[in-house]
Amino acid sequence: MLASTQNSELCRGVDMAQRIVIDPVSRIEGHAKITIELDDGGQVRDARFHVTEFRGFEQFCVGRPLWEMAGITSRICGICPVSHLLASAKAGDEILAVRIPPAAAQLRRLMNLGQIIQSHALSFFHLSAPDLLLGMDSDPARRNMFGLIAAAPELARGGIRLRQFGQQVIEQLGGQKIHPAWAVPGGVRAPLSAASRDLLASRIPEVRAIALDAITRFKAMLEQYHEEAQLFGNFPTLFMGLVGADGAWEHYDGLLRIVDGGGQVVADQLDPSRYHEFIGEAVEHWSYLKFPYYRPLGYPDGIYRVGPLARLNICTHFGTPLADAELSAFRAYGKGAVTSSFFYHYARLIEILAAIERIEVMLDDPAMLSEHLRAEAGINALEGVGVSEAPRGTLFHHYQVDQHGLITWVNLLIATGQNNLAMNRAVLQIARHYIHGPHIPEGMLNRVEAGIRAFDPCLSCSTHAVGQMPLHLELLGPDGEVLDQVMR
Amino acid sequence: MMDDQQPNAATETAPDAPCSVVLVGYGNELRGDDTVGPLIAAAVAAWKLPGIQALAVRQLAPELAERLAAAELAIFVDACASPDREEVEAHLLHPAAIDRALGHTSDPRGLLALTEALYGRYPAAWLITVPARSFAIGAELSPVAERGLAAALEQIRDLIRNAV
Repeated sequence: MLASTQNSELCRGVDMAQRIVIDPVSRIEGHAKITIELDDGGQVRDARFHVTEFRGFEQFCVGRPLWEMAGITSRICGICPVSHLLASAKAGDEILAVRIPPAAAQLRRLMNLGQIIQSHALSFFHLSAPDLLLGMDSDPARRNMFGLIAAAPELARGGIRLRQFGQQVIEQLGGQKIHPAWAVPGGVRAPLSAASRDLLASRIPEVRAIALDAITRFKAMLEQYHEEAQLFGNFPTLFMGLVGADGAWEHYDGLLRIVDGGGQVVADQLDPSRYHEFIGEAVEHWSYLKFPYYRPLGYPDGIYRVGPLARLNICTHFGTPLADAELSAFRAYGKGAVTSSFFYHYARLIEILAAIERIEVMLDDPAMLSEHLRAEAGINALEGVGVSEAPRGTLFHHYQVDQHGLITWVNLLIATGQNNLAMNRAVLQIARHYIHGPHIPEGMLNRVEAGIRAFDPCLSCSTHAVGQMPLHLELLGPDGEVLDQVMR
Repeated sequence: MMDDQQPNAATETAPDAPCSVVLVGYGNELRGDDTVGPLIAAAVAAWKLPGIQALAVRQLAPELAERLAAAELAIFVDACASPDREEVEAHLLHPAAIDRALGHTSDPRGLLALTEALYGRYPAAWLITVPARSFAIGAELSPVAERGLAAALEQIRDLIRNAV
């Protein structure tokens, strides 16, 4: 068991062995630890982002019926259950070998857009805005939601309303905000009612205004974070995500595109169901989170990022006017591609705006009220891959089943996991720039945490492979000698 | 193949009109006695009393603050793990001190604090705790929680009667 001082409270300290530990990392989903090692000169030698939780879904789902997988995997996470629900249902579509009714596909898209709005709103307003709008050197006791409320009450209220709208979209379709039992292999279980459509449509003007206000405020404060914007995980990587046939921003279907740090297309029109041919997964002994990489470049050179920053870097347009205008402004912060992870925040806000615009268009289509929502079939294939864009990035559910539809093998390639290499590199970059010596001001440590928060990692989702590493805290002397250790 | 039923109507889908009493029963409906809060919310919703809004939720999310701000009385209902306790308890609540970070979930006092910070007011609030013995995976209540559910509904009826 960890020492009590570390078990339940934030542990920030510099021990005699010049190792700085931030444990736990605050205001992220899930549990993680950051270890920063200083050399004899007090400079950062190495930094690691350790994911300290293990979930195991890939193992205990074996033997379950395919039909249960959407319900089971949606419980991987309480923040992004819809993402897993949809990816699982799509894997089931492949195993049934069906093409679901168009209305069902549109309703799944609608729910995914609601998911993107609520998840991004949570990330920006609840988790990151206290840093961004109050200042990373502000009083830690006030650098939270309550501090945000005091400083910008309208923004805080707007953020809550925005997230509530996204959840309302999910609830109006699926009957509940969290873990809706709605998307299934072959389609969806319930239609959108006219009353629900009208309710959601009535809220569009309000939430659009909130999103635009947040973007305006964010752009206004960018100047004070010029240094962070340049140094927060700013390095060239590949970027990957789904795009539409015409290169448009995609979130549900499409093919995979990979671009490099200069915005040049490295690979395009990739079939997501063949992800394993171009994405490998490495394992490090010091983290439960795997390290996906682009196979042609090997590990770790095949580092790539997914999520809002990637989606905006790989797409050519949104196809909605307000979001397209912001996309043009966004691109000015990079050369070919925007490479600073700080701009995940901006990308997130633009995606909220795009999602709102798309929802408005969709709700105007009478076909959204169709009740033809299921394609009925049995097991027609023994393998299926379901892919969609979760708020945090591309999500893959890969199942193999027997002829009775019982799961024989599962692989889950989670968005946050695909950002693992980049998160580690970001931590190292930030730490090397801001930390010099053992006496560290509070704001500097928070910048390291904030660098992680920019990725909006969902660590609860990401840790399912079998691992043998115990949770282990080591105190190392300057010569590497283990001075003390605790295990659990 | 899964039974092709309509999803259950959720008591979370509440009218947007302000209500004088908001009851929030919260807990995990798949963890034994933890479902007692949502069950009680569903039971209160079935009373169909005017001006009463009953919400069955899994978490106390910040979005609830808006509903609380418009209410005169809030009643939170939750299971309380206790190896010995048999009685339902009612606790008068006040907002928590706002010296800690608020994530995407909260406790009743934290939620009241958020409500006050956001909207300048908060309702009179009670927390009804129902004794619970088991939080094992499953949807059944223990006998203690079953008895507690009935007793809690009586207390809630009294609170509502005194409020309206």
